[in-house]
Amino acid sequence: MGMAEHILLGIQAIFAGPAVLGIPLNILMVIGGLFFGIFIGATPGLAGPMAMAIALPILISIFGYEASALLPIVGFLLGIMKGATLGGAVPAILFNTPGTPDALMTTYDGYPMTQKGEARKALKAAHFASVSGDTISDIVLILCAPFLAVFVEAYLDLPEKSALIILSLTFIAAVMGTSISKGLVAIGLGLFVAFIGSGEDFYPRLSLGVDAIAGGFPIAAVVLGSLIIGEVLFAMLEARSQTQQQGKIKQIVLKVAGKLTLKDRLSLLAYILPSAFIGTVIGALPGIGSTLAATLGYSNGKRRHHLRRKEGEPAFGQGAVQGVASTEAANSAVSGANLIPVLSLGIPGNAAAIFLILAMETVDGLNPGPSVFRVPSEGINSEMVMAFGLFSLMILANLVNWLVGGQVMQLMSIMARVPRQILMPTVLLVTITSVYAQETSLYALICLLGFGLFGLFMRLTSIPILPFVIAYILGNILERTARQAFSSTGADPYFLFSSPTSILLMLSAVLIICIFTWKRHKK
Amino acid sequence: MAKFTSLKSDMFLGAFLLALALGALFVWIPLDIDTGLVERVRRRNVIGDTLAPTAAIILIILASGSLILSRSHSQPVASFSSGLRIFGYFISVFTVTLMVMRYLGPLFISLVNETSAAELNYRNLRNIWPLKYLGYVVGGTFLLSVLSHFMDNGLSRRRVALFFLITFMIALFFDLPFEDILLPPNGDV
Amino acid sequence: MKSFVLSAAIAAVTMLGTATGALAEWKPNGPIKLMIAFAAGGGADTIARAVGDELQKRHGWEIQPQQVTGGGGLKLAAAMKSEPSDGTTIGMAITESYGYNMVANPGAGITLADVTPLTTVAGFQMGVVAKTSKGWKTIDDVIAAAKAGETLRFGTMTPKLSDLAFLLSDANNLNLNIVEVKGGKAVMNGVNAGDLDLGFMAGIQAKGVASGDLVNLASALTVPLAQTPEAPLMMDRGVPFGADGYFLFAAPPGLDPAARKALTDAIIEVVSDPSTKAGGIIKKAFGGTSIIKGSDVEALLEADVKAAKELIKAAQ
Repeated sequence: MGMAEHILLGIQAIFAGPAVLGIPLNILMVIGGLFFGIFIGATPGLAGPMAMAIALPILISIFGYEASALLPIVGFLLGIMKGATLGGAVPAILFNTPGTPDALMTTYDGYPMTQKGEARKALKAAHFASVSGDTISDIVLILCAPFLAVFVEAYLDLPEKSALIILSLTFIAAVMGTSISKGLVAIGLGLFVAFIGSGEDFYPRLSLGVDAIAGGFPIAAVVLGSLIIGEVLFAMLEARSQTQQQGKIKQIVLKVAGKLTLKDRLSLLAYILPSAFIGTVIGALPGIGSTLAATLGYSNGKRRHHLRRKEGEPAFGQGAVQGVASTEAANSAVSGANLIPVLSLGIPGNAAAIFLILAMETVDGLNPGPSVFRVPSEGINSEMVMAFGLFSLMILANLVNWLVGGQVMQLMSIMARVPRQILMPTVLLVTITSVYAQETSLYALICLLGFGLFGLFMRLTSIPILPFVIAYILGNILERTARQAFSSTGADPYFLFSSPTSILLMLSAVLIICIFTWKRHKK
Repeated sequence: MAKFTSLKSDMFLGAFLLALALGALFVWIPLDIDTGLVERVRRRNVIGDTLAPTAAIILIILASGSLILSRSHSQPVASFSSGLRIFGYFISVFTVTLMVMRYLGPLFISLVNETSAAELNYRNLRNIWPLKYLGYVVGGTFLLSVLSHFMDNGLSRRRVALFFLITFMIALFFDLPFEDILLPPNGDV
Repeated sequence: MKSFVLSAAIAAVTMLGTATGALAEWKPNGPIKLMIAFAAGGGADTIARAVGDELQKRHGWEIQPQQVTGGGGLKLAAAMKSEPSDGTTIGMAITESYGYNMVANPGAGITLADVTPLTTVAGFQMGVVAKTSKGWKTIDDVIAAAKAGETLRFGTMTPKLSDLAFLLSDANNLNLNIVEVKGGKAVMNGVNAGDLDLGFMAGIQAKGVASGDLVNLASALTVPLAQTPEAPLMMDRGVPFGADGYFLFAAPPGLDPAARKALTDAIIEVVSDPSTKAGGIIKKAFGGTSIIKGSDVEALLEADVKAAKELIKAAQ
């Protein structure tokens, strides 16, 4: 069967399975995830990946590992991802506290609007821009991922695949974090941790003869520990130093008002579309992330607004609704395009993508990578059906987001009042409990907290975390691919340089390191 | 948190990482991996288990070496002694929390056994309410309270009560709807 | 605290009741730990969990599945060695775990004295498989192509299969590049993606072969494949060993005979019923059950150990 039939089957798949209150489970899950994500995003200090991390072990405990669990679990996670980007604008606009780093630019104009009594208008503009950006990005994903995957599968052999992973890791090391040396340190550490307790030999290497380490560290403990626990501990340290410096955080009185007319919306499109384009392009490259997209989207909008501003309209930074729209469209457009490298190459580009890959690797039914979009000459490729099922769920989530996301967003504004002193310890305990639910051993909790402290250490020394986690996830895949490439070329020691394509990929990796070192040096 | 803005902080970090990496390269890897860089299997060369970790360590060595040489002006870092204090603090809080979660229930049962004629065993009773929550809720309340105190430099009795309630709610949230989910420590006993 | 003391008392009484209850029918004296030697989501895991669910449904035994993966089943063998032998621990591995893998890794310290095998449930339909678009009909076409100078990649998923591929290459004076990948699914993906030219598949090829995308070039078993009985045997092409293997339920050494019989019968009852989930999977992917139990399965393992020793020697 061709691709068209697979798309149809994918759409059908989201209606399959049990129904709750007459709504198919898959659809219920993605909507539930969306609302939960808005709630999380609206809570300052919480971010989408945190919620995805905590939800994943619970979802696996409920739905199991079988292929039928894939759509509900990944659907819920996708919902969180979408909702959290939207929700992040709420505290930024209402309280001048960005819920997530990429909502920082939203505060520049959103909060002045609130001060002028236009909070509702700002929230509506954020909703409109965020959902538009997200939708555009999803469309690009659905159009590009299958073709990129087919291309990769047709043209890349095992040596080239090894080289591609090396190139991706180098790129991530270069673009994330404060210096390329620290990025490479993070990659090296991530790879090394991945290699502990794995290997081909019967004796699990580097396991110190300890049985508990023999199977490697529990994946959930490494990833959630360094990403989530580390972040929570770091936030606690920050809160402590703030308490010492300036006493308690003060509360703000707010007034929600203001209208966003259809005409306003249409004129905002001139800012939303370029931002969505910027966000999509950045999202498709692994490792750059939504913060840069928001920054670029904002400054692009600023330039445009500077040229076209009418008399009496507020400038960027003084409560321009265009500023909110430019930022939100850009950071939301990252999320869909981020799945392009995930689904077509199996390479995660940001924290949200890490948890999606973890979910897909734990649950049967879809192994991210080039084989997902292979069209069989007869019969069906169930992975492709799953992929299109996920796409359908994403489109559906966008529709729901269009319809009611704005209202849910306004309801969630109360969350910004929860003090961090209650929130942060609670997140820590929920993460601990959630990991225990999946691993059922205190040993996993010791690993979790240990990697949490490791994550804190990395934050204190400004070694970037994400390259560490991405290298950890790709480490064993890279080694396996390289082993196979070595065997398949009849033990050619120069297999990484055996074809023009792989030479090009490896040269690009070297070039990236040189360029970024040189650029940083100049600064 | 005390801030520390020496230009040398990255140099120290580089040196620290370099020392660890050299230790791994010359001690840990040779002693703790059974196959070499390349092995001969079925009259062919295949990649051994040592190659990948060695490559990772060499990457760390190169990167930390360039960190030492770069003299970069890095972000402020907590001073060494305040850093040690913070890590010591978190480690002790986590240790106490896990110990309370793990041993409070069994300890309670042995107390019951001591004071009465009963011969109970926590393992067999780990499914019984409210015993199955005992270690978790007490340990969890302790963790939340201590960390909140850490952030706020103070802690009211009302907040401890709130934390007890939060922990209890989390326990209910995980335990009630999901039959298969276990709370700490009930999967370990 | 009152409710606790009360429920504790109730629990104590109930336990007493079960201990003195009827001895006629065997009953586990607690939850049964079901250890699974392969990763969640794979064939062994799916069958084991489905069997576990059904046992719980039919007999009221509480089954707690858990993964004990690694070393091709040897991790499980080592863990099970020291588990109680009263029927409260069973494991799902493959016969290769207690055959080739055990022999090839003497460091693990496992022998056949460390296990009570219960029963096999399904046999691998191990074929040598390639994409139809390669144009090969049987393994002879592969041999001819390799002799003509083509460098071919042969995908395998276990050391035993790598040995068999090596013997095939050696016996026919070929120069096949043997690529060991992780799991049968990875072989299939590699073959489909063109990373591998041909490879071993133990049942997952059934759908592709039926649709005409894949072709069984040979049977790697000592008998023809159920789906394509016309495919030649690899044994007739100079490889004096078969890749026959089974999914195996096992228990700790010295298992109580009553428990052994009860568990074996209960498992067989579940897998032989195609209306159960486990039975359905086995019928679909493996063409039905292969039951070898009691002293027969012990003899099977002993024969496997002997064959494994010879195979390892031959493939040096």
